[in-house]
Amino acid sequence: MSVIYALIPVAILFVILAVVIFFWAVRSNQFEDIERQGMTILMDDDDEKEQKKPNDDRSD
Amino acid sequence: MASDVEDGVCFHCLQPIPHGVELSVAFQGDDKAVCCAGCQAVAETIIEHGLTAYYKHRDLDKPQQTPLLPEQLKELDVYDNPDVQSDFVRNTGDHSKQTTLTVNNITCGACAWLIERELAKTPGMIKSVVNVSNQRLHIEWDGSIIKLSDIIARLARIGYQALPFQQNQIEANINARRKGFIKRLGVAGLATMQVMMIAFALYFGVVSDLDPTTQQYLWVVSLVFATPVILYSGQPFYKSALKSIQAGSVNMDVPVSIALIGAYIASLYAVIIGRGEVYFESISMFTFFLLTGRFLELLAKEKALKFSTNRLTYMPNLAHREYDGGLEDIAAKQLKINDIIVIKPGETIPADGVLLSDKASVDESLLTGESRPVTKATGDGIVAGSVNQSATLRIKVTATAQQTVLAGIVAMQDAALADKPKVQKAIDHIAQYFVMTLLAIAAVTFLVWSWFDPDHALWVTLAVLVATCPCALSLAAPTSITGAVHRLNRMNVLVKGAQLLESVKHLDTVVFDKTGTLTYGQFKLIAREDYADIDTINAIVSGLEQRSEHPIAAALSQLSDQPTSPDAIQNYPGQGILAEIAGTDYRLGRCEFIQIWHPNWQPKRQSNVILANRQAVLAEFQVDDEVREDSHDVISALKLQGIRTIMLTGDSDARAQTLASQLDIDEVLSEQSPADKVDTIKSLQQQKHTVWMIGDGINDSPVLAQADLSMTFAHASDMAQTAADVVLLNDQLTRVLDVIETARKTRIIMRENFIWAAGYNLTILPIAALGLVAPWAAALGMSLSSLVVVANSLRLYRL
Repeated sequence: MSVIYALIPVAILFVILAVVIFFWAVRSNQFEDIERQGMTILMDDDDEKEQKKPNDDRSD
Repeated sequence: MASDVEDGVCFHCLQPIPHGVELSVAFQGDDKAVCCAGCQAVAETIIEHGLTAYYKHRDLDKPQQTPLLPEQLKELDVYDNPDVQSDFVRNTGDHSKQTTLTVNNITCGACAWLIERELAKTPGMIKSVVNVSNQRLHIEWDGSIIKLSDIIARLARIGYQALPFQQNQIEANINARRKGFIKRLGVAGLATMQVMMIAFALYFGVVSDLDPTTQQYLWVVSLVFATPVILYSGQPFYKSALKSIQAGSVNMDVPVSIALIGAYIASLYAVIIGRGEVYFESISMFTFFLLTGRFLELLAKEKALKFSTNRLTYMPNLAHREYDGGLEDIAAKQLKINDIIVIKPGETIPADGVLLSDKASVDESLLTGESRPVTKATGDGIVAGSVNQSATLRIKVTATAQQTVLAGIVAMQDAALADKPKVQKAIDHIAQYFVMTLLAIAAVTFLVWSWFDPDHALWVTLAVLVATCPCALSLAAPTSITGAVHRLNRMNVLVKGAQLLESVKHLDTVVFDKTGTLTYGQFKLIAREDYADIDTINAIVSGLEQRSEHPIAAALSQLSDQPTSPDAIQNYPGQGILAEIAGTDYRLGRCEFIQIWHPNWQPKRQSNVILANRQAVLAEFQVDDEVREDSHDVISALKLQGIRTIMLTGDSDARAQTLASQLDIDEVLSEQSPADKVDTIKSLQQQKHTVWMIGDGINDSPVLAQADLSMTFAHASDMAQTAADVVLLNDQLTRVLDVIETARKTRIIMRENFIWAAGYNLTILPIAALGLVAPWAAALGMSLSSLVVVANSLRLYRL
């Protein structure tokens, strides 16, 4: 049982770390618009594939 | 989300394709049919710019965007005027400027991607961020390279209508509160998990044996985790409790705060003296549950608030003022009385005035709800907000800005809103008695126990406090309300006011506006009778009507895809058109206009547009505002529920009666001004009726504000949307029935919640007071009763 005397403080540190990361995420507005983030990944992937197409005549 | 669009609907906007339209766009080798030139242009721009991924990933279940009409694009220059910009643009550097626009047709993540991509390719754009939940676009641009109107026009070309809006102070406040809530929830959630884990070790320690040192150690660890929860996460409850005590009343947060702080202090004392009971897991869990409930409530409120703010678009009106023989464009708010202004066809009249031109036809539907244009002669009054349907007009200004009839309606709305019957929060009533009883019982328990068994007095009292913590009780109302709001949101109904649940209880009267509510508010061909070759008639009629600005004309101008062009045409305002085609004279217009040639002819139907040449009458058309498909069903369903239906309209009596008998409405009040409508509702309310009002025009906004609960549609005027408590986003009248059903269901669930929570508290109270409830059982029972309440409310999410 004595192992818990060492492990629980480690767990506390991890939780503190988790809270710090969470606060940072909130502060950098990552919870502002939850609806679209899932979609963002999809869209960007597709775009890269399309840019590789030779018939893409965009100038930029 | 799929890219398969059904046959017969537009590839871009998913609206049905009108008969005879054969437009298409090339998309990945296929020709896709579209409904109009607007959609075609938008789709072509999107494809041309390499943004086809939009069509692959957009959410087809949601209503799609409708393209901006080209006329609106011309007026965007106004937004480049520095005086106008000073109201909503921030200058952040030498040339860089920032603003937030509302884009009301963003529906899913694909729209956001499309807009950001399009703007990223625009020279002069520094940054653009779309927020889908708010339907907002934040942009930063270089004013020396690109103008704001160009940015808005670019968005219009891909089908989005972006406009500046009036920022709302309450909104910034809610934003900050939401962030605070997310942080508090995060802390409470993470800490609760840890404390629960340790609590399980302690629970088993009760059964088997746990040595005192380990138990003491686990208590200290729980204390470490529970402290930030009580000190940080619980703050909103303490603040609200303090506020209500300062205001001399007691709300539900008072017993919650007492239980939380009391249990924490007693547990802390137990840790210090090394014996007794600890309640850290209950404290953490209660806080987490309660915070979740409050957070969901806040989100629902925020959504409704953002929706109304997005409607308050900033629309600077320009006026063309006569000035030394020429014309100058000035902002409407700078107009002065006796200025002479010119209004071009189709423009909105910026100020009240007197007509100087010979004759005019204006659409006053914005103010009266009546969609037929009104004919005016020299010297007649013209009202701001009406639309010029005839040739260019000259007007002498008689009232500006704050004095116009339109401003008067706004003032009337504000007054009605202040007058609206107030809803008493039933829950805070319960709280008052509850707290008093609770404190009395806890005090009695403590006194009695200290008399007989002083050692246990503190712990038994604490068990009473924890067992009776009104956690479930205080979750009963908010969880069911948020459940109802989410359920309605999923049905595309937006709820803004809290009146819904209270007002459905005694609901006995539903009042409808006519134009735009029971009808579609647009002229359509309802019936026709042909006396000659139908294709020839169609070609002639659409050829003539395409040259008319009359609103009825729009309904007939699309009859044929190959309209015949007239050789000569003469317009008789209010009568009809006289035209010459290939040597034959034709008359197209109202019955009296045709009877000049055919004095004895009578129409077979209730026709209001007739085509004739000198020899014979060729065709008659009945064009009218079409009744909504679901109006009749809604009225009869309401009657079945024993609800009285009333129609209020500014329209003439004859037309109102026809519609009323067709729909079988109980009562009709016609020729009502906005003030009459408010008075009608007020007198109904004085007779102790609970009145719901459904309307859509600017003229309806005061009456919407006065009703116990008001509903409007997403296409309604901005003012009606601001005044209404409920907005039906998908334009179906049957949703009214769903709203009533949901509100009733929610009341039932809320009552079940109250009965369960109060019942549990009353049952456990005597047992706890006798000292028979172990602390872990008290905590577990409390948590379970809260979970039952939450689960019961979750039933509302199921459709």
